[in-house]
Amino acid sequence: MTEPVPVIRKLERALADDDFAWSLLLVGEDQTDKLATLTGDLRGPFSASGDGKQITSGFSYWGIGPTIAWANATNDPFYLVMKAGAESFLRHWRKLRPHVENGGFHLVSLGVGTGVKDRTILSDMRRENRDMYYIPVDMSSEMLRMGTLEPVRGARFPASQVLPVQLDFSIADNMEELGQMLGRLVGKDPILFTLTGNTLANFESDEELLSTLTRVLRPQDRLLLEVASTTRLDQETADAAADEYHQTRAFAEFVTSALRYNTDLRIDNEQVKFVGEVEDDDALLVKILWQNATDSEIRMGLPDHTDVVLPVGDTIRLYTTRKYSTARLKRLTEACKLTPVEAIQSQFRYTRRPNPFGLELLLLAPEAAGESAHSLADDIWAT
Amino acid sequence: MTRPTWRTVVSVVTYGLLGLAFVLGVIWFFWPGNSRWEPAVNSLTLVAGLSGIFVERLTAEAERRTEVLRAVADELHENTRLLNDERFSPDAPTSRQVYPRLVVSAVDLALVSGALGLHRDADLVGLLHRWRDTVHLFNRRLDLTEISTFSNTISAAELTAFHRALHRENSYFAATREMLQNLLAKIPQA
Repeated sequence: MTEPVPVIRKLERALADDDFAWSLLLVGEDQTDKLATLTGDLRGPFSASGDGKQITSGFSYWGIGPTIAWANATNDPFYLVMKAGAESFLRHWRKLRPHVENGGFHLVSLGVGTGVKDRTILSDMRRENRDMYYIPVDMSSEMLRMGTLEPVRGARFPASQVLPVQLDFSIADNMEELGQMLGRLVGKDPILFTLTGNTLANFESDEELLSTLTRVLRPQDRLLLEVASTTRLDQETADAAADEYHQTRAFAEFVTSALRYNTDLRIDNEQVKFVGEVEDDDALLVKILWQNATDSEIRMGLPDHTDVVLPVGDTIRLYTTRKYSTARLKRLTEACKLTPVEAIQSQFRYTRRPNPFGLELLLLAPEAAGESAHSLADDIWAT
Repeated sequence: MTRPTWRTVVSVVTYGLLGLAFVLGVIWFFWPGNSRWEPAVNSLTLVAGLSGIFVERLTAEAERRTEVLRAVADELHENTRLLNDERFSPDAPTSRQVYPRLVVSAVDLALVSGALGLHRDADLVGLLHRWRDTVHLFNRRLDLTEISTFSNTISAAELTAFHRALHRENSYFAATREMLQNLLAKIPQA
């Protein structure tokens, strides 16, 4: 009697030449737990400053509603930062590319986004390594389906070498499991992890997230980190940073979409506040909040059919983002024992006046990588 | 080895002529009857006097070259000592410090003095020019290292990076040490 053949082995042949829009997805978590987490976060204590109830990063993109709102925001021609970011990424990536083009790297994209940046990276890397795998990781299955379309259809990356993974990578245990699974999948081949689009800034504790990611890096692996940067740190600049997000209607629609999609709260865009502040003297923190600006308390229905009372002045933090100073980035990378192999920074040039804001792309190596790291000292003492 | 031979030939001829003039003078003293002794002794002494001028010049030149080469060799040994200083040791602590500088004053003097021969020392002069450039670039790198490590924002990791970069196998420090050893081997023994 012959052994039954596992379905996964037959799947590749079964899907070959099938023009129906199938997409494969490896789900790492029970989605009921995620819904419970979201509900729990919305039951937080009263806070007038956005530090009680909140929608944590990842949930902002969770579900088809927020995914569509995100896609609309990225296509909004008035969202200048997004456009400038896409252009600067191309320039920066070209300079970093030589470090990861050779050596047989696979790509693990953490927070897939629109997939445009992954398309650029994949089309360059695949030229040198035809057998590479592309593993986008995101909490939102809808974002994964949308984000992988760009590299697969746009750059003709073979769908048979793509494995989307639905997982909340901000949870240390999840990341550890992912690291082990990747190790078994690619063996000793190096992996390029990417965290682009200023995703790091969306987390309550950016240091904790970076340290979680660093723990899975093997000496041969690299981390490509893209963050928004600032050259000035004062309240006026923090207000300007908040205004940057305020200017785009599509972005306001996106940040409120998770709340619209998961609760019965009626949201008036006037109740959405963009608050900028200087955080720890080395970064600008922008909190986007919904605030009960009415004269009476509001009852908000949650997905588990319970209600939560929102007193007058109470807030729900919808989105967190930051702009980093060089000092903060240095502190973060040192705290996480990461060595910058290359770092490229450029200022935005779409405004008439000098703009303190820009984007920085860093290629980081774990400390264990040792001498492959490139520093100012190496430049000085090179022959 | 053309010049020492030439100097030897001129010296031998000079002292030979003087010796011969002395012998003829002694013979003339005991048998003064022959009136041709006088011009013979005078002519030999005159020629010896002329060739003696060349002997003196060639000897002074050789001594000057020897002195210059000895000074250069001393300076190179001093530089070897400086490169072996404990501040350059791989076991030195990775703290910020002021490093000793390599010196090239004797090499500079040797190059401008004209004591090194145009053809005979051509290879050595080329090596000394390259060594002079290397030392200037090495000292400049030490300046940059000190400026960077003494800034307020330097971290322990960056100090370690400087220590590692200095002692890397293919660093400028290793290249300088290797060049110094080659140069020492090529300096003629004074």
